[in-house]
Amino acid sequence: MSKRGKITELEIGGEMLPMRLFMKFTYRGEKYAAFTPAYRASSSDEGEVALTHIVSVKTKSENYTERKVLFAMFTCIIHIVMMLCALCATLVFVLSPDLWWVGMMMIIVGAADFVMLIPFHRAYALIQKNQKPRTKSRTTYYKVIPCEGSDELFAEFEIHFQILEKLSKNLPLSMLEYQRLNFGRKILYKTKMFFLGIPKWVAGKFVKLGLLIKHFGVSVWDNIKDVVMTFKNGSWKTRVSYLVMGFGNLMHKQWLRALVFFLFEVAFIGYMAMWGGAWLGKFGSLGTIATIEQYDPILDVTTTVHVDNSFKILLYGLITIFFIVAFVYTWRLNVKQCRILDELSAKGEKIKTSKEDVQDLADNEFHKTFLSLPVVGFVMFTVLPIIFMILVGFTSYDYEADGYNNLFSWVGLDNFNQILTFGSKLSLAFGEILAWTLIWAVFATFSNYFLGMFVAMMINKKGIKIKKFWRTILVLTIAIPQFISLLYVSNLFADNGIVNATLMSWGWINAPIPFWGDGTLARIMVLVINLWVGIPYLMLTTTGILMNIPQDLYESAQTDGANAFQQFCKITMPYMLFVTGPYLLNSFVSNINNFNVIYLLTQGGPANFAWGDVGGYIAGDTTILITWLFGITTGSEANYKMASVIGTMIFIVISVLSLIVFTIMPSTRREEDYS
Amino acid sequence: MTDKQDESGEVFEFYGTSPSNGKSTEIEILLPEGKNADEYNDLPVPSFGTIPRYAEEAPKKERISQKTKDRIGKIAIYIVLSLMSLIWILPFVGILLESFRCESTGLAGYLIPKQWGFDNYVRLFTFQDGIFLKWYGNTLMIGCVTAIVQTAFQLATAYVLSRFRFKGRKLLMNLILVFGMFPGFLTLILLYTWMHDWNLTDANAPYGLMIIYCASSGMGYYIAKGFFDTISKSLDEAARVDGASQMQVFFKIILPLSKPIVIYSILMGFMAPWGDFVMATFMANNASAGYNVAAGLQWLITDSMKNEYYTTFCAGGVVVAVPITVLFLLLQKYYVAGVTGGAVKG
Amino acid sequence: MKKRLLMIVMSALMIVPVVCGLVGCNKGGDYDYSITVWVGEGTDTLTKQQIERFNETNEDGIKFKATVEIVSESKAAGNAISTPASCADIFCFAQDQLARVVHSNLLMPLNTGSVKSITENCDEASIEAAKIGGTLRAFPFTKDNGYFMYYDKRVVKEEHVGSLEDILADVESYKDSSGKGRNFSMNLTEDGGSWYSASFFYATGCKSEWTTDDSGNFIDYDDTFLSDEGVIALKGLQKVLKFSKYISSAEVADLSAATPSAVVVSGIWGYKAAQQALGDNLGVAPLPSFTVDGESYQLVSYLGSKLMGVKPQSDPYRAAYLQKLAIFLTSEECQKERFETVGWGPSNAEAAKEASSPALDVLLKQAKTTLQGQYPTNWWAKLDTMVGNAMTSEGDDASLNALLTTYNNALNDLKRS
Repeated sequence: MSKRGKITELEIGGEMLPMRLFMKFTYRGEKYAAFTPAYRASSSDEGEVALTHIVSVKTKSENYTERKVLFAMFTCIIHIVMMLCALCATLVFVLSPDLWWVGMMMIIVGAADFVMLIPFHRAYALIQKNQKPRTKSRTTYYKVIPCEGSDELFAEFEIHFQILEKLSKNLPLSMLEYQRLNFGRKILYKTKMFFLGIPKWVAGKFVKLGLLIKHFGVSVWDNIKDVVMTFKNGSWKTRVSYLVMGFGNLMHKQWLRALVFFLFEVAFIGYMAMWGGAWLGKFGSLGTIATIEQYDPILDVTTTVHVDNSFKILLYGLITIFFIVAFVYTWRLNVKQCRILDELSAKGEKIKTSKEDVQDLADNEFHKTFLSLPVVGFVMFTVLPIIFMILVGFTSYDYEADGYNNLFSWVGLDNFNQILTFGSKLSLAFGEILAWTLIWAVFATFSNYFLGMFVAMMINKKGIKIKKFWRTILVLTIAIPQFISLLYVSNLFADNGIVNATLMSWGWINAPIPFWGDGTLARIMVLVINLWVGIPYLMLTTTGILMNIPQDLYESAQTDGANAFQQFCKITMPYMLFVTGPYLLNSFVSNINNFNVIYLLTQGGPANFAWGDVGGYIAGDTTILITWLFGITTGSEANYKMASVIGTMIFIVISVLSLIVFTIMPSTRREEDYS
Repeated sequence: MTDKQDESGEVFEFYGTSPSNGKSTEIEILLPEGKNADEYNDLPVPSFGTIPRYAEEAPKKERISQKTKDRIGKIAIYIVLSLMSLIWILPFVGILLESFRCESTGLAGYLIPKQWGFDNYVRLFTFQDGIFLKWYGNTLMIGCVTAIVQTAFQLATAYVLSRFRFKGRKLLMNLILVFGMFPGFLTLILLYTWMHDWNLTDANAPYGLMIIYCASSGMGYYIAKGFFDTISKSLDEAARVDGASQMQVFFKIILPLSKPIVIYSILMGFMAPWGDFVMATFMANNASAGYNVAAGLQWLITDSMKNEYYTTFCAGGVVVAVPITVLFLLLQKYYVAGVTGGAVKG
Repeated sequence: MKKRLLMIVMSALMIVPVVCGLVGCNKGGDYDYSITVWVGEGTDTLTKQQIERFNETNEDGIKFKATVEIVSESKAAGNAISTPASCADIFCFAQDQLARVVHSNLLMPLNTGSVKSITENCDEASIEAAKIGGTLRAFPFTKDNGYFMYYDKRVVKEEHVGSLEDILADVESYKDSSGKGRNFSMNLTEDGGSWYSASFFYATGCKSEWTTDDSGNFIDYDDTFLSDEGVIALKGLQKVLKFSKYISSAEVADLSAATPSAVVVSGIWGYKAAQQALGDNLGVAPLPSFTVDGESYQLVSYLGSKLMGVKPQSDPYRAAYLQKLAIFLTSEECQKERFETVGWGPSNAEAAKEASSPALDVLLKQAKTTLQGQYPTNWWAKLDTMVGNAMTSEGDDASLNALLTTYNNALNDLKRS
């Protein structure tokens, strides 16, 4: 007899067997079932059993379309439900910022929704392509029959069993095997593999690190060996240049190099003798005496002389260390050059003259000439300050121990402990501010991205006139410095600002709306006003890219009967995402550090008193990490050590996020080097 | 109704992803990519089972003509764009209008002045012995120097990283990437103290700022590098064969081709100092003579100054924004080329 | 065409700064010392003139080349502390910052001449204000740092100004001809709100007194906020905080804002702006009293001084002359000038006798004032936090007590040995 609806049992040789003994699969639009490998293994007669017990469940191929329709409807409903969920969650999150975790859930729901969207569009597109939807309800009948089977079919099974086995053992699938999985399984497989891959990836990094250390050690050892050997085997000129740098070059008539080496050595020794040694000596303690007071009885005044300055000891100590490293490197270079010169002259080969050296700087060594200044600037004004500020996180530097009137000292990991101690006010504030920072960055990035693209598409639509005018108006926001426009906008929405006043004079409201006074409202406001700032950028950026999309893609889509929305999902979106993937990442990072919008609009407020204060600065509901950092550094009780710790944390957060995105986003993994 | 539900249950299973329903395991395979179900329609239909019958298809609904649809779409777009333009331009109109307000100097609850006049502009240029001119001069100076040095640094870094392969290149690029992720403010306090040692803060802050802006500007090489990457290497090679040195290749062949990126860099370098108030306020540290316009104008609407100087701030905003905007709009083309390239190249 | 225009614009942009630079060249002069002075808003020009006069009149013939910068008194101390190396040689700050400033070694010990001048000329309260651990550390130059009430006579009836409840009722019920209501401004939760909110606690008889040692460390405290009186004070605060038309602001400009306030609690520095805003309708009154459970409590204003400090110097001559300059800048003559130009109430006993203005009179003749002592900076922050939380708290005794307990528990951390 026939069965209706869901299959629960199958009739094999007159015996009713439960479905769990079978694996179902679809092949060429037909459904088949076969015993699971486990059952086959337990069954007495192997081989034969597998072949004879294959059954076929035949469904009409038209049915396929209908399933698609239903599936599309189903996903559509899920999609709507998810959207509603996300909306509710947003509202909850926005109405009570304390429930930030709800906001995090919202992001997950949003992500899930996005995943759901893909099969939805696939199914929908198929329907459009194939048939008109048939929604009339109808019954499906299944009949279980023994299958005669073909070799092809058996081969197919074998592959399935292999895939199954691999899946159960978490082994990687080949590309062909992977393609046989259905969509859900593909995602599952990918996700599983991603997480399974993490330990291996970490291990790989450790191995790499180990190799790096080993490599470093080996190269240091090699260098030392080379230095010793050079001294042993080298000529007297070379030996002298161990002490007087550039001597070897001078003897080989490379007077320019000799001069540079020699001057560098003199400068180094001079610096170390006059200042460097002293700074370095105090580096360990960061100073002992801050000030000496003296009373002058004749003038009747007390004078104060400053002795040690922890800040400067830290700074100049660091510079001295940089200098020493540079000197060691140069000295090594000097030794190496002497050896090479020795070898060259022994072989009687030509040695470069100073003139040739200079010419080389404009030719083969041109990159050195060109990079020298930018790199020096980068090292002195970016690398050095950042290392300095990270070091500050390990000291007790704050407004009390300012390093000038009261010295500060090393404290190890105390500051990091403070912020990471679970349950402390500081860690609570850090956690919540971090959460809001991420939410802010996600929202700001994606809302700007999609709306900006939308605006660009509107302006670029065929037949829209005065394109330049629209564009120019939007571009004004970029041209006019933000501190003017945003400060003005901030005042527009103040309690006494024009917006409130106008609304009140119209009689719409009785009391001013606290745009900046209410945490939730302020958060919405910064997000909305950020659109005002961000859309023009995206509009400009995407205009060019949108124009680059080959027009014939759209034309062929149109002839296929795809509507505008489909065209957007099928052509525009994938293209844009592929091309601007790295840009999205960049703008996410820059939104995490988007100081201007938050600071100029709300200065981080309204204050959230539950978090207490750090450095005399009470963080507020719209405070993101970077404005918090600013408040802590410039507050009345500037707490530099904490600022440094938080800055380091921001860095860690950003780099971890970038790492994750880089790992899973294929278009960003593009090797930057292409030659 | 029941049938339908059964159907959907079946459908769900068809696509189901539940891996853990008891002991059974299932594998479903979708149709191979690129084929559609029609191809299988001619497969033999088994002799048993029932072939379902469908109702006749409903007649097509009369569709609105494509032309009308287009027109409606366009009108909608015009409405949206007009609304957007209004919102986008409102704050700027507001600043302009308020800068002409004479009857009061603080925040007011209306846009259109009751008494028009240039009082605020006069005040702007005369208060504190015309300190605004000093700010303006400071900013111009910083802007010009930064524009030149930054362009030189960025082009040099980008060109080298684009064309040369040398030891440490990858390291340098990674270092720039990693250090670029650090929040820059963190170094404010250090840079201040350091610059203070050289007497480049307070009233001399513009010079200190200049150094800070310029020194690390090579880090923003990405866009220029993307540009150089697109210039064909065969050009340089041909020149090299003809005996040109690397320096000549750059200055004689590449640079003339790089006008858009040079202008973009100059534009960016020039504009940035006009908007930076954090660094500028910090470096000037209360010495208002060392402010740039951003720091100065921002100071005018701090809480204690706002009542007296709000409209002056608006006037200052106009004075600052107009030239910058004109310059920007004139060079907009290059800016677009730059940001688009930047977005694509990452 | 466009190109040429661009060229012109660019070259103009290049040339202007050079010219600016040349014009801005420093002119040399015959000055003995160049110094930096930080003063509050509105007194920079006056201070410049006064220093000029000092240059002309002092017996030693010393000439100072002074750079006068505007740093508001409330921020000067914080500013000096965060970047001590670039602190001004003479700076003006609010009295409550004294302990911090002393603690950070930012004040030169006063010499006998200075001490003599202060003790002879200043009134008792101001002298107390400038002492840390019994030693005079800075020059008081005003005694007017307190607050009272500006109000709109059209809204608040004259006979109601004595009672907070009546005032709130007046404000709530008022509608002007165009149907617009009025607000009530008092800064209780914004930056610096604790300075005003403390008023409620002193009204009910709570106290918070901190003892410092000679170097400005807070070594002990006597705080009775956690008490029944504290609960009453919080209840009074909640009356304002939960008032529908309450705005947390001490800006006198609120009186003429888009949605005007009828009452602003602020200090004498706002008198001019208030007069501009309301003209004849401006009323000035002492702080009102509030009623909880039938009993009435008179709000108490702080009364403090602004101080002038001299940064420690390594050159003894410079140090001595700077003290002389500070004595001059805080002299009777200069204080009088300051009163005449910006209306600041003098700390100099002689000058104070003659200084009289409606605002100053109201401030000094309030029913109750309390001399502002020294508090750890974080004490203000803790107070801010408590008041901020009181805004959302239920009004029952238990939850208010919980707030006070949290506050009280935090106090011990503020103590330093």
